[in-house]
Amino acid sequence: MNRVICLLMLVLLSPFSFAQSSQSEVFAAPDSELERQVELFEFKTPQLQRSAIELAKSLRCPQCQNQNLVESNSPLAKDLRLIVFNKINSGESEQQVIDFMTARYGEFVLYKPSFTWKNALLWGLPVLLLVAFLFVSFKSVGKRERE
Amino acid sequence: MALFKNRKVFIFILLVVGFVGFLLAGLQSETNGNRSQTVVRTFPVVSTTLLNGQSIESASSLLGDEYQLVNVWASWCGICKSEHSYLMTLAQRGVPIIGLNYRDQQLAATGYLKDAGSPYNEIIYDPKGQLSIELGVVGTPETYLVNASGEVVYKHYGKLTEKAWQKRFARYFDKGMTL
Repeated sequence: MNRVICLLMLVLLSPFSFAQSSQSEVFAAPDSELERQVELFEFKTPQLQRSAIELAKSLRCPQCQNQNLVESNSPLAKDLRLIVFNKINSGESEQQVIDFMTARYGEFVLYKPSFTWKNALLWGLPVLLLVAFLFVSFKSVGKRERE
Repeated sequence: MALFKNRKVFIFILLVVGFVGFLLAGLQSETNGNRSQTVVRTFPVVSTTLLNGQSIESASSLLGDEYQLVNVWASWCGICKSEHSYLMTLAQRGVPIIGLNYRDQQLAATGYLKDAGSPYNEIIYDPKGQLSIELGVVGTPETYLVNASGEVVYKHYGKLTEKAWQKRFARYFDKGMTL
């Protein structure tokens, strides 16, 4: 009798478990609510909208090596885009948003990293090489003329 | 040897070797670049929920030990699966590990742990990645070394291996442990 009940339960429950497994996808997909919020975000003024989108374009998605927050479809990029939009819309300055991003993901998210003594060589080497080249070439030309 | 009689060539070669050495030393030191130093220095103090459904006021209240690992994982993440057995051995050695379940389904996550065993003392459930944004999580797996006061000491990107463990983590857990 017990076995029959068990079997009956199994038969009864199986459609539910199937329904559940088809609902739960492997990924936690960015839910449609978030999608709607990002895609249909309403800014207070067109001015704010323009600057927010410009700013989001100038920030690199941390997850995907070379796409900005507007281009990327990764869930993280969508979340971050929404944060950028919200912050700009609520009147925060671009610098505040940039600080928020770099505080979490580092300078990596900036397409134009700031100048520090650590990367001074990187910024300065081309100029240095040009100066050295000019110096050497003037010197050698002068030497040849004297000869 | 004829080359070295020309002093200019010699100096040039020395300069090039020196420059390459400088670059290699920079790469080796791993102090520059986004893959080496954690940007977020303090563990976020935000309310969150655990995988078992319990909600807690502050994620940093989970940090009970002097040093612990915070491991970011998800059931959909293949590398996490291959990392899992190593986490289990670490847990058996007595290393406290807090799991951070990242953008996952609750059912899938609990099922994963039921199958493979759980190396975690506590598991934070972060389906929308909100806490993870505060922590600066880029992808899975990631392992953070956090002390009791919530200071993030080190961040390891990718799979945690024995080599990385010995180099970066082991010294914090030496006391009273069979490592």
